[in-house]
Amino acid sequence: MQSLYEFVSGPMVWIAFLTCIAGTVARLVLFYNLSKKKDKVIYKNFQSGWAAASVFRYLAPLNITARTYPVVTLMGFIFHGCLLVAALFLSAHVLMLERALGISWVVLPDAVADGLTLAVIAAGLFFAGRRILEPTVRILSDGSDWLAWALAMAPFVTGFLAYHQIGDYMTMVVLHIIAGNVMLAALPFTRLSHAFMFFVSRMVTGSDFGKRDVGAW
Amino acid sequence: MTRNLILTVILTGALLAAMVAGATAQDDQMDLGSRGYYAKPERPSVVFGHAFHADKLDCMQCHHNFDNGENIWNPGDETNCSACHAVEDGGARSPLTKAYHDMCIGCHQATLDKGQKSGPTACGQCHVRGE
Repeated sequence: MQSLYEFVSGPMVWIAFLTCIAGTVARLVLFYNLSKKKDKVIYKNFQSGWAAASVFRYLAPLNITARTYPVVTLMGFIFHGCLLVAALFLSAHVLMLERALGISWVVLPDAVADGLTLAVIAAGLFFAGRRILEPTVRILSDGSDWLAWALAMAPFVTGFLAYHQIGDYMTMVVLHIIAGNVMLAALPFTRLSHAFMFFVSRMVTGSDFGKRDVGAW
Repeated sequence: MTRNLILTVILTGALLAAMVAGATAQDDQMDLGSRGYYAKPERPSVVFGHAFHADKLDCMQCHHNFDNGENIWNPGDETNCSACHAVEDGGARSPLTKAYHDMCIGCHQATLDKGQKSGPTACGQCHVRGE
């Protein structure tokens, strides 16, 4: 088990990050080439100011969707915000990064990270419930949606269990690291790619709306 | 009856002496978290098997006092890590947590990298909950 831990927390992490970065670059390049062929008009008189404004507007909580769908927007912000903050500022992660690469940054108290993890899990359960109960969402759902949900949830569930040492510790910690690595590697190739594609779609929409002078919302 | 009484007293005395000797000798299991270094510890205390390590390693592989890059520590010198490594950033010296991690995980990792069986490297293997 120790050697498995060494592998998943060592070489496998490198493979996961490289796959994530290379996959992201590849998808962006392919998407750009496709857009040059199929949607040239967006590049004519591209409105970068409006594009940027639209990105910022939609990253901020109080946007148009907040007014129309307040609960979903709130849960979405809780899910994504807590996910990113917990993962990036957890003391154990930063400690391991410092041991590996010598870089470190400010960390959260463990109790706060614990709370953020529970918030992610709760928000994730909300979205699962919504996908099952809301007819307009249910009708559009398929396996890939549930896969993306599972990929995002698994690191948080296993992380919580590992931190609290529920179940066999080494098994849980190895599962947690594998879950994180798989999520990273799969990111560019599943709907989790919205992590970077959000910016692409938002910039294009923002620019187009800007051209028509109807605002970036 | 008198002979049995004398024997009992002698053997009890010997047993007590052995217990006292054991208690005052080098600690076998050191509960590092119980020493009050951390006002609010983030993780459970680490119980360090000193005797286990002392059997396998030379004292100076862990205990150190560096002077111009040379370890001039001798048995009988200060043994407590916290005597020099303060909990908060100590300038040129690592803070206590980093010192513990670098010493313990560093050595365990180096031994594993050499393909030998070694000690724990994962957080919860040392910071064990519920004990």
